[in-house]
Amino acid sequence: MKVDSAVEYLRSLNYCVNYEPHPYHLSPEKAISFFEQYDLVLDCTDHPTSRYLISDACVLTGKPLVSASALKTEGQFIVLNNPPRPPGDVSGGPCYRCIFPKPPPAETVLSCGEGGILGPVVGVMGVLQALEAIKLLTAKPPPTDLDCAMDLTADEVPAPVEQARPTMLMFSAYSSPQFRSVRLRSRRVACAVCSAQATIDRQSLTSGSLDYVAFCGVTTPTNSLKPTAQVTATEFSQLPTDGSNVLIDVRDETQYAICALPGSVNVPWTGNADAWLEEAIRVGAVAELGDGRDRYFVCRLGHDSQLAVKAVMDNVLEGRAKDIKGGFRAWREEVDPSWPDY
Amino acid sequence: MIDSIPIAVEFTRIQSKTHRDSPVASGGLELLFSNQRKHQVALPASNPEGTPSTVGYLVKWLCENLIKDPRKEMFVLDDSVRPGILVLINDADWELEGEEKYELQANDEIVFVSTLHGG
Repeated sequence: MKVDSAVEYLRSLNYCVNYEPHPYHLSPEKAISFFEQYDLVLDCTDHPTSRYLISDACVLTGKPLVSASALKTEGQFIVLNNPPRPPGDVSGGPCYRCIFPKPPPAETVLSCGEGGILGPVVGVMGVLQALEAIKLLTAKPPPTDLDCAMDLTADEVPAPVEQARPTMLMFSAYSSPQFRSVRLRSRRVACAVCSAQATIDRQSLTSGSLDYVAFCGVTTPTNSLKPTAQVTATEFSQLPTDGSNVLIDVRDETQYAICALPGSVNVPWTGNADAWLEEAIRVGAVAELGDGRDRYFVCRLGHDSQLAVKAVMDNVLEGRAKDIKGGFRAWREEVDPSWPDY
Repeated sequence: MIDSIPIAVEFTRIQSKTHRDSPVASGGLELLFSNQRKHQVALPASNPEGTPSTVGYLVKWLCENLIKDPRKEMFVLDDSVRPGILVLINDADWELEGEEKYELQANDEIVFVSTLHGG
């Protein structure tokens, strides 16, 4: 398990720290009792579902939350619910819902698995989290009048205690400057969890009545073609390679460079059907008026190839376009086990 | 009489699953805007109703004048900037500045930031 690898590695770095693995998924039912054992929480997860749950549980247990995210060459860093005042106290720091009251549409959420991530970018964000965690854990409580009187020598003026201002630090490896700090709002008057009008309480979490997956939405697999417009990878492998058919690979250039079938034509799917079709015709992959040859479409998993087939069937006179069902994953499983699994 | 105001508009690389198959997806919001992150725009100083141009009007204006792609829903949903995009006015969350009602000043810098979730 990932958590065991993390503990093993961290122990080799510093065996003086007490590491406690929790080898299960964080659920709304467990989150409250789990967070109550700690002084602060660091969110290093990778999906809106867990980000909303962790923030809600931090507000309800009164813990500050050090949150970082990263994708490709960019990162974002926010300290939330700091200071961690009870719901309804406007002097508390904003929570994730104050900043992002509505989750983004599921189809716009790109994970590191899909989008890729550069190791040092996560490293930068992780180090920032570690630093903030040390600062929060070692922070002195605000001085009382008595403390000030005792510390004060003749010429010294006590430094005013700086109220933490909510900010988001954005990091972008290829931008100049690489760091940018932006001011965020304070607690939202109508926040669903940290305001006086909150509708989410401990009971909503512990009872399991709050469905974070439904709240954030799910994407459904593309299934837009009739069965007659699809062939299996096995069927495709049995077709003659005499030029009577054309294989159009719609993956991006990087994936095409990793592995591709000989004789295939690469026309990356960009999401815009009209622009894609124009490009496919321009490079000669698709013939506007038809040339009697069958076109087969393939991608990594078989989503985008269906969209490309649909674009061709909707717009071009030649209708002989077929999708290779399940893409190269199916190709690997059915036809060629040596095909790279990436 | 000033009839247009210069505004700097920037899009952080807003990601979306336009390619669900690609681990190196490149389909970001900047794709909608000619694949360019930073734009200098000359926005009409007032909207067609004659009132000073606001950020809300800028969003509408960008959709009508700068987006070169039919997938406007990647940027705007239900007439507002879609959830998951944070709007910054001169490095501050637009909610600190009056959101859509903020009246734009010359050389204001408006940034549309995509929320990242990866970890």
